[in-house]
Amino acid sequence: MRYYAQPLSQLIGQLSKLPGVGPKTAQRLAFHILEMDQKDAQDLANSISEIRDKLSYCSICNNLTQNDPCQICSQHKRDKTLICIVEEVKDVIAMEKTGEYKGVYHVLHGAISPIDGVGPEDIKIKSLLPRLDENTSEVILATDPNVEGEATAMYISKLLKPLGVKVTRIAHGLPVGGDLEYADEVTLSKALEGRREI
Amino acid sequence: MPLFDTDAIVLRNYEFKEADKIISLYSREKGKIKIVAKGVRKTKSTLSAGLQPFVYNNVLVYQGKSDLGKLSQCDIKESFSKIRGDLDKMAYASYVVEVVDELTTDYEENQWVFGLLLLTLRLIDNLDDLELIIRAFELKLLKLLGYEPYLAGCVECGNKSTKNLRFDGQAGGLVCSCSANWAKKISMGTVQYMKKILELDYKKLLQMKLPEYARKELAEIIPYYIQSLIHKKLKSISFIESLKEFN
Repeated sequence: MRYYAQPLSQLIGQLSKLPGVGPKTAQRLAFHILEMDQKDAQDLANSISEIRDKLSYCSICNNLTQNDPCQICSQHKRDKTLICIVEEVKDVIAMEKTGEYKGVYHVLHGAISPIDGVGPEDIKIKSLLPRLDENTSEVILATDPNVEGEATAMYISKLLKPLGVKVTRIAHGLPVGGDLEYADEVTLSKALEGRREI
Repeated sequence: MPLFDTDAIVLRNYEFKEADKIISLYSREKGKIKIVAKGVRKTKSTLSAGLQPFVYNNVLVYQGKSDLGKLSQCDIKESFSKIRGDLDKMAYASYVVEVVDELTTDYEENQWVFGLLLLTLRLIDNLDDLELIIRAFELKLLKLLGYEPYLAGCVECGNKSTKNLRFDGQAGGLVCSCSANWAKKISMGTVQYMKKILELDYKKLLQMKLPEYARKELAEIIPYYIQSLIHKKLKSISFIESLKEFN
């Protein structure tokens, strides 16, 4: 990139490392940053440099947090006997958006994938076991409804069975606003399997 | 021919861009192919269920100038729901698709391999003796692809002695004491069972009683042979091992 001044080419190089950002987009972003207010550009730079220093993982649930334990684990009104297991931090946010769930979480940071060689020891399952005791009322498995998510859910339920904890799996089925005629047979049979009385 | 349809089994998928996936399929007409499936990671995508590993589909693919075709439609033929509901079955099915993915090359049509893969997934879905199904699959696949292990005598010297037999993955068959290479010990009984599995059709094969010692030896020797063919470790083996702790 000898056409650019060195600081600019350095910024373009760094931006193009981001997911979904190619050289053209990186160039556009770099020029945009160059034209930004001094303060906005400084804030952006500060946010980037602080994100790694200020964030850590919660020692209880492995969620991303500024303080340990995280906001959710330290709330008194949360039901600590109800644990929802999710694959990623992004899934906690998705669950929180529902506003329906009042329990706590456990973030696995991945899913078991036999084909990719990701085994149970590669994700944070071990730290789940010390969290369970006689007060635990239910463990909800909210892993993705794909092969990896199912494998993880089945493994954890097998692991927890001898402990006598109630283990449940979130329902699979039709998306709200979708059309029944366009649903595939796997989803539809899962929806039929998990039907309930109204 | 920019648009084609074929029966295919999903081997694996990789995440690609924001909401897309690259799917590796084993198809009846074209062998192993890779295609892009647009937008299938979104919840409302009607294609995503058919693109999970092991699913048997009829796919419609748009093949432009690039090697990577684009998925246009997919129609599920068999979803193998029991495989996805049982951890052991899933582990063995993962092994099956991994072996096919590793041992085959793109666009090399082989209808026999397709048939064997489909049959093996159906058997895993419906039967319980998973180990016998897997051993039969491995040996039959090796034979179809031209890697049938040499069991008639020593690969190195041709000696037909039945004493001190070992299996050498690099040489691709039995070796006797003439070979200085490292090789796994194998009993004559197990060699006979390997020959039987290679010869018999599935109807007779599934009635066969495979003794414990032969199961143990075959479970070590055949994956070791496959790994020496592909020069790397098969990832799903360690998962199968970790499941044995539960049983």
